[in-house]
Amino acid sequence: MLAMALVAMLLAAPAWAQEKSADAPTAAGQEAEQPGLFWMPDAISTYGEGVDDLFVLIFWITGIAFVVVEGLMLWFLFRYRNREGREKAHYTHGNNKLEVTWTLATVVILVFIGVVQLVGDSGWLTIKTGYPEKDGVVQPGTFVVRVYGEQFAWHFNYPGKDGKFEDQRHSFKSPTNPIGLDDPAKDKVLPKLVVPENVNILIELNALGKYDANTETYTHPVLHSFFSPNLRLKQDLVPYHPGKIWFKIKQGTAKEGKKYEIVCAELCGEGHSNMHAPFLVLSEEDLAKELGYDWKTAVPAKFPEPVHYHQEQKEAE
Amino acid sequence: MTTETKENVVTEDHAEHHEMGFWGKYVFSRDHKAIGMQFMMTALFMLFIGGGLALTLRMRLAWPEAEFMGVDMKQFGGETYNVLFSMHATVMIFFVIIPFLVGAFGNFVIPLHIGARDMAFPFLNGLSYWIMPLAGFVMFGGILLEGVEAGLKSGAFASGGWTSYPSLSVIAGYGQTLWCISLIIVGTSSIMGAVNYVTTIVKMRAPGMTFGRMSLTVWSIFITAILILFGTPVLTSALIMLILDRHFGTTFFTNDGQPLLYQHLFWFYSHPAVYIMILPGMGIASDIISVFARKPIFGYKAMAAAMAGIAGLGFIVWGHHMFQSGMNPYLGTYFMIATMMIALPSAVKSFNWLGTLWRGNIHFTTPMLNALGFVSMFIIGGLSGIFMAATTVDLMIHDTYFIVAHIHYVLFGGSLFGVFAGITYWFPKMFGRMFSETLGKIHFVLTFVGFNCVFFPMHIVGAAGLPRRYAAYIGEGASKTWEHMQPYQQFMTVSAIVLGLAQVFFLIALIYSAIWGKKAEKNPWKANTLEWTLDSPPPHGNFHPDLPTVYHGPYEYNSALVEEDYLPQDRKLEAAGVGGDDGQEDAPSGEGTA
Amino acid sequence: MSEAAAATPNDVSKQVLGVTDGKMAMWIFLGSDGMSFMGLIAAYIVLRFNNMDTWPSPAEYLGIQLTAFNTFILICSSVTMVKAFEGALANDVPKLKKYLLLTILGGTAFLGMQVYEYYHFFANTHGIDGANPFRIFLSGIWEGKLIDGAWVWSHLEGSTLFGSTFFVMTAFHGCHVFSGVVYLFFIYIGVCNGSWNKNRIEIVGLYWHFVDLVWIVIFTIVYLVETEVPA
Repeated sequence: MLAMALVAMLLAAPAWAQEKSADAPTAAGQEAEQPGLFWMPDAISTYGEGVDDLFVLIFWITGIAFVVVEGLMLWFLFRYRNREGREKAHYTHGNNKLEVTWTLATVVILVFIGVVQLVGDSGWLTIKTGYPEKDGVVQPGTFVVRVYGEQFAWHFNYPGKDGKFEDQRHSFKSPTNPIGLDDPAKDKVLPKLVVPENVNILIELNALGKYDANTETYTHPVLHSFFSPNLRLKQDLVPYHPGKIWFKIKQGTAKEGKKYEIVCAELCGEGHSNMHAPFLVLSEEDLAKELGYDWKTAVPAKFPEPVHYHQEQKEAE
Repeated sequence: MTTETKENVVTEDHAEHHEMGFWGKYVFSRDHKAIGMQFMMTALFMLFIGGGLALTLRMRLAWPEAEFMGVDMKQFGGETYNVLFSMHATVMIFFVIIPFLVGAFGNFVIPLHIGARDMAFPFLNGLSYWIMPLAGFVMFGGILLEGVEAGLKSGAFASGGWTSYPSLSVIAGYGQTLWCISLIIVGTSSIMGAVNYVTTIVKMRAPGMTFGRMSLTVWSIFITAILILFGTPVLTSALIMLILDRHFGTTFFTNDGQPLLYQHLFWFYSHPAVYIMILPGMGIASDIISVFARKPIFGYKAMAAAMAGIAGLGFIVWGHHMFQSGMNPYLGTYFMIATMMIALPSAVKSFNWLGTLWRGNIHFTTPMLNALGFVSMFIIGGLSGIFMAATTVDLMIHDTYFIVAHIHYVLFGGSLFGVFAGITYWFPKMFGRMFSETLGKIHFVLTFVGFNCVFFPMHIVGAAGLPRRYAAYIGEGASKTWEHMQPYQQFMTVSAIVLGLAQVFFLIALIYSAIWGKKAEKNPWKANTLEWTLDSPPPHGNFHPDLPTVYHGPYEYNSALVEEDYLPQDRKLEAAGVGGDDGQEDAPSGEGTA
Repeated sequence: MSEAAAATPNDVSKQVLGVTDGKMAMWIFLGSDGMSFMGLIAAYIVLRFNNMDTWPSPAEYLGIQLTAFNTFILICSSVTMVKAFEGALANDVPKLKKYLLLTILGGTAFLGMQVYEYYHFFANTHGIDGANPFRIFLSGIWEGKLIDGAWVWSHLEGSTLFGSTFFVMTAFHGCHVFSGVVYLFFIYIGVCNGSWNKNRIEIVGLYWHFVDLVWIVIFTIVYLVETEVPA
């Protein structure tokens, strides 16, 4: 009964929600039209579909387990209920063979799920460690971005024509230079993420602290999380410990011209829910227009060594 | 050693029980039953505070810019929203679930189940209760110091989530320090309780009460106590470092330090804490299911071993909360495999509950319904855990509503149904009256339906990536990605109101039953364990004049040895030992499991 | 627990481990307390390994001779504790009192020396001159200035981990020694009043030995272990 009610709810709810969102003037109609399981949004990264496949696989395994176990339970509850003519229960303390059997069966299934997620193009280690780098040097043809998250905004730092990222210092921060770059004119800084399709994209994640130039007060950066549901990718920005992520957008995504979002998925303070940035996949021409240069001729080989505020102070001394 | 033991008996005071006045009997009592009730009442009170916070934040999520009865929902955004969910989680975990399961049932049930007159250290026991309200006052100290509104402005309440990750918790207002101190106090209270439980269970069992004859409730609290003993101090040291970072300029978690270090230490405690919150529920549900299926528990040893396995594995899987935290992905792989393994004992337990129901003689009483609610909801919570344990799927659903759904299926659908089952089951022993079956069943149905309507949709929105801890998903400044999912939020909020009202109904039913309920006989459920041989409620000191002697395991229902369908643990049979209960292959016996 | 019940052959509880309730509770508590030190020690190891290149040589900045002597005193106080328990076993009250007092003195001396050590670190007089290397590592926590004959402490941001870990570990242990001394003091008063038993003496002894043992671990990793052999 309950299971049926849940399934009914599950099936009925999408229709209801779509109806509503069609009426709402502000709703992004595109997202609502997206097909997919429970509206998992479009997967636009190369490994996104693999992640979804694993989700679906686990959905079916756990779904079957759910139906079998809860179904059996309901059947037992019905079949062995106390009623007229049923006074005695069967006296048993258990069955060791049965115990071993279901233990082993569970182990096999769990090990299977465990192994599946480690292999293939969408394997865990491929996603998290397969950076387009060799011996610490970025491979040619990689689109490289430095992302800065602060309370409560995203900044996207592109290397600029010279193909070199500028050094960053908190004490250089100003309204026109939100990140605090050494020479902001040499780099391109945008409040949105624009990327090409079908090339490896390497992103360095930095958490940016607050700095008030007037009082020279500095506030520690906090955790954020770089999350794009469409990429099926999430990684925290750890203060003082820059991290890296990589992905590759599927061919043909740019044509669709959809607007995606980068959101923050780790509590970062009062403006947490407002910390999001547009995320666009562009054709090469549009990208060149957006950046003001041809990124292919300006691929930096390395990220600069980060200098944190406490090191900055020592430098100053 | 024997001489010492004798001395000890003389010097320790739990054997003496004097007549006491009102204060000694009800307030500063050393009687384990009174202390258990104190824990229960406090937890019940805090349940409504935590629930109120939850309803407020659910209202905000459903209609972030609306106004209800003069209350503008806009004011619950931003920092206030962060305070709401931080306090909701902290209150529910540290002041509701743990006091209910460990404090209330641990105190009330252990001595009765093992056949002891009281806990090993009654004074320590009273102390462990009394520092808990103190912790509550520290946590909400901002209200006393500044009042709610001014306090919200000046950061008098913790707003870093119940996890309080640095650096946010380092730069937050002074409420964060109050929060840390409060949790250190609660932890101390838990450790005091746990020392007491372990000593009592190991040392004070009645004659014949071997480890293999202990009820699974006692087993579960025993294992829980061990988890508390080894987990809580690590949280304490993390919190000390956090306080130092906040006020004394150290840099454990900032600058040269490691922000992830806090997360590791925090989850080293808090993952076992999840089991601290579910294991006693499992024990209680096992006992109740066995009683009302009128059948021995299926695979007693497997059940106890599974709980021990959960506890052991619980200490080596903490990293699965940190897959996307920037932790070394190879370490993540290890944690993934360990986490997959911890699903195993949970699965074994579920199968054994099924086995217990199989060919039983099932009576649908209120405690039984709640215990079945526990099992069925725990199964959903356990299965949804497999999604998150899968590292790549976790890329999508980490820190989304999927997690929120999972934790509530385990802690509300699991633990809280366990609590309701326990309260209604031991109600006769607590108040001397029966819990009204009609009211209890109405409460169960309302809660069960309401609960599923609130939390099941969270799986769906979570799978779409809806991030948690957001103050709004529509309206000004909000992300546009999940706008179309707002109807879900409204549906969940309406269901949450029903769920909240159901708990008010429970409170009414509880008060009604305690005053006007049917007088309880000694053994209304025809159960085997020792508490049912006593008056309802049991007298101070429980067993008079002699301690009982135990001859059987706790689950001898429908045994062929006796006419009745139950066999109390202290009933001596003429032919005991001849093909008796202990002789059977899977029957609990001896101390082998110790 | 009635004697009759305890005498029943079926009674399983009394056979377990053969220890008294109080002793067992102390063992359990010590196991638990050990975990809180484990938390700090784990933090220390992680932080030190991650800052290997900037971690200073403890020998250069910490007063090892003084602390080694202090460690010796703490170990001696453990020995006197054993002697006190011997006295308790033999019902020799004068011996018990004498050695309990010595243990309390040992603990107090340890605390006193720790306070002396801290005072010199904070007060920036350890190396007397202003270029005291301690300042570099510890000034981030507190800076003390002698103004008009009174110490004025100011709180500074940006300490380094060497100072942070040093203070949290030694101070947390110091709190344990302090509680131990208070605990022993109450036991001593009990002995003077004649309300004592062997069990209580043994339990306080357990705690004291634990505190001693933990100090040896902390002394080793904080003071002695060198990242590189100092030149």
